[in-house]
Amino acid sequence: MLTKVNKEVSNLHDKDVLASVRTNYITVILDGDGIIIDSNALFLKLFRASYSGNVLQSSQLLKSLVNSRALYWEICKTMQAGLKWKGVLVHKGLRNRNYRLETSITPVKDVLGNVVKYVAISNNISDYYCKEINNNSVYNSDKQLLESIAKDALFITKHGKIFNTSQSILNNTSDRIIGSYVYDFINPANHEYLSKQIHKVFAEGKVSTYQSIGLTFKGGQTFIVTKIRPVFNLQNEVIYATLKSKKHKDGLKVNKALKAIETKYTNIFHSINVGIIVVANSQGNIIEWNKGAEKAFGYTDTEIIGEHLTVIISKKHVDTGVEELRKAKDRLDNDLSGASIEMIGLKKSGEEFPVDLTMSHWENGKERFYCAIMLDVSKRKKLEDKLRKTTKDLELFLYRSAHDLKAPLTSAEGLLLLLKDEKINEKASVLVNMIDETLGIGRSLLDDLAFASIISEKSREITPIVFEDKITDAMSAVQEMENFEGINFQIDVQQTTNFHFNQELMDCVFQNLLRNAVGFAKPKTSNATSYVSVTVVAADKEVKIIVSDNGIGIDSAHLDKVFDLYFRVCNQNSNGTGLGLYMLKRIAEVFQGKVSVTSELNQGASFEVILPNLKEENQNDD
Amino acid sequence: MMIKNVMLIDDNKIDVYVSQKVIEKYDPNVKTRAFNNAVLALSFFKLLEANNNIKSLSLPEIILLDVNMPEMNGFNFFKEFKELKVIKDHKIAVYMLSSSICPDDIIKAQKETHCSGYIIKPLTLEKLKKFIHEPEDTEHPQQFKKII
Repeated sequence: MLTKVNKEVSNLHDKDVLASVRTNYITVILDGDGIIIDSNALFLKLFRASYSGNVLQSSQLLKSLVNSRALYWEICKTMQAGLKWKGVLVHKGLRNRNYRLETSITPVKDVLGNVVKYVAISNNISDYYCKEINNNSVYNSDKQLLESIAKDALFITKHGKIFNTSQSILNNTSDRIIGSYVYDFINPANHEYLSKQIHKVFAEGKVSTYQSIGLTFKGGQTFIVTKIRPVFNLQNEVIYATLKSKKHKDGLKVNKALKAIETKYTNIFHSINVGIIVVANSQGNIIEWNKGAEKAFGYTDTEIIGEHLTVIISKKHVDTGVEELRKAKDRLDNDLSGASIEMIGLKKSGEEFPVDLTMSHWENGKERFYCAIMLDVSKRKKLEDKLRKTTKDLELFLYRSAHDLKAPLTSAEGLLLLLKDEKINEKASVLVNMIDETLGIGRSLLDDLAFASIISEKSREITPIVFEDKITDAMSAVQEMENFEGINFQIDVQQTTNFHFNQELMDCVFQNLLRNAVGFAKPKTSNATSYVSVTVVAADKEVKIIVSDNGIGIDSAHLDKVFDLYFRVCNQNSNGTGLGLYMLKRIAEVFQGKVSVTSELNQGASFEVILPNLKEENQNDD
Repeated sequence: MMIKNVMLIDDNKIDVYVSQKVIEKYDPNVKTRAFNNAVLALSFFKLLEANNNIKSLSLPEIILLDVNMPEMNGFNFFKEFKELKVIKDHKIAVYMLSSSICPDDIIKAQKETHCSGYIIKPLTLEKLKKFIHEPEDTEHPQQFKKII
C-alpha cells in the first residue's frame, strides 16, 4: 500500500499527497538538506514537540529514531544516493513506550534529476507488531541474546542485516536485534564462513545448512545447526532469507572427546586470572578477552571487544609499542617463534603498568588471529628496581666504610713515621716495623675493598687501552715484591685493533694477575729459573689475556675456590688481601667476560681472562 | 720557594699533629696555622681582607687541605676560595691532603684550577720536599703535581 502512495507522490503535487495520507500516516517532508519543511498532526502528536519551525534536521530526527549506527549510515547513504529507503524505525516515546514505524523515505527529484525534497511516510505499526514491546525497561544481556537466536528464526538481507524476527522471538530483546547484523552475535572467527553461506543462498537460491559451536555463559558449549533458507518473490528472485538455528542434542553425531577438550580449553581460557590473554585479528582489533585481562586492564569484554589494541597500550609508548607488536607479528608471519616483548600497558583508569608479552598465532581460512599472552610484571619490576637500588646502596656503603676505616690507619701510619725518627732502642724498632707492616696490609685491604665495591660503576668510563703500557705499569707496581728480581718475564702482546675498556679495571686485571704470579713463584733456591709469561691477544670482539707461571701452583682441591672472596692459600710469601682474584672475577662478571685457571701443584698455574672490547659503547671520557 | 707560613685545614687532630711535626722537621721556622674546619679558614681570609695591615705578614704560601671534612669538604672549599680577593696578588698553592686514593677524588682535584696538587696521607718529609722543591714548570704553571 505504501508503495502505491509513494508512486503517487512522485507524480502528484506535495500538498495533494499530504491531504490524502494526512489522516492515516505520519508524514514529513524534508528539503534537499534534510530540513523539515512540513509535517502533519500525527507526527507532531507522536513526537510531542512543537516542530512548527523549520529547524529540525533530518539527521537529528534519524538519530532519535535509529539506535544502530550501521542503520543510520545505511539510511544516510541511501538518501544521499537519491534512492528510496524502506524499513522499520523505532521511536522511544513518552514513558519509555516504543513506537514501531514502518517508514519509507522517498526522494523527490526535479526535471534535472536533482533531489529537492524527501517525503517520509510512516505507519505506526506498534500496536499489532508486538504486544510486549513496552515492557523493555531491562535489556537482556548479549549472552541471552545468543541463546534466543539459537531458538528462533531471523529474517536477514543478503548483507546479513536482521530486519525482522519470527513471532516467537518477539520478546523484549527484539528491539536490539532488528537493525543489527547477524555477525554481531557470532564469533568473528566464523564471519567469513557465514558470509560465504549467506552469499551462496542469495546467489543460488538454495538452502544452506552448517554446524557451529556456541559457548554458553558458564563455559559450557552447545552444538548449533543453522539453516539459511531463501525466500522468493513472484519473479523467483531471492528477496531475503531466514536464518534458523537449533541446538544440537547431546549424543548426536558429536565427538565427545573433542567436545571435552574444547570445553576444557575454553574454561581454562576464560578462567585464567593471572595471565592476561588477548586475541586480535590481523587488523589489530580485539576479539577475545579473558578474565585476567579484565582484571588487569579494568575493561569488561563487552567494553573492549572490537576496539583496537592500541587502547590498552600506554599513550606515551604507543609508537614503540605498536612497532614492537608489528615486529613480533612479522616474525610470526614468517613462522619464526615470537620472542617476549616488554611493553607499558594502559588501564581503563589511566594507570600504566609494565607487561611481558608473548604472541602466538593461528589461521582460520584466510584470516589470521594473534593471541597475546601477557603477564603483569609491575611487582617484578618494582622488586628489580628495589634490588638494584639496594645493591647500589650496599656498594656505596661498602665503599664509604672502607674509605672511612682507612683514615685512622693513615693517621696511625703518620704517627708511626714520626716514631721511627725518634731515638728508640732496637727492640722497639722491630715492633715499630711490624706495626708498619700490619698497617700496610690493612690499608691495601681497604683500598682493594673500596675498589671492588665500585667495579660496576666503572663501566661508565670507557677509553682506548694500550696493552703494552698497561703491562709496563703493572710491572712497576709489583716490582717491590720479594721474588720479583729472580723472575724471567716473557711478554707477548698482539694488539692490532683499537681496544676500549676502563683504564683502572684493566690496570687492576694486570696487577692482580702479576701480583699473583710473582707471589706464588718458587723460592729462588733450585737451579731452575722462575718465569712468568704474559700473552695478550686483543681483537675486535674481545681480548684474551693469559698469565702463566712455573710457581708453586694450586692444589686441585682449591682450584674452584681461588676466585672466592677472601680466599687465601697458606703461603709465607704471599701477603695478599684475598681480594685480588675476586676482583678479577667481579670484573669479568660485570662485563660478561670469563676467567679461568688451570694448575698443577708444584708445576705452576695459568690464568686466562677474556674481556669484551667495549668499542661500540658510548664513550664517556670526561 | 721560600716557605714562611703553611695553613692546615683538617678535622683530624692527629693528622694535623703529624703534618705539623713533618713541617717542623723540614724547617722549624715555618709557622703553621691549623683550622679544623674549612669555613673557619675562609673566615680567616675574609678577616685579613678587611684588615690590610697584617695581610702580608700572615698570608700562607701553602695550604694543605683535607678532602673529607664535615660541614664543608675540600672541594666545596675551592668554590669560596676562588672568590677571595687576596689570592689575586698573593700566590697561594693549595694541596689536597687525603687518605683517599679513589681515582674520582684525584680526577676531581685535577680539574680544580686552584688546586696545585694531591698528596696522599700521611704527609712525610720526602713528600713535603718533593712538592716544595720541584722546579716550577714555567710553561705550564698550573700543571698538576700528584704526589703519592
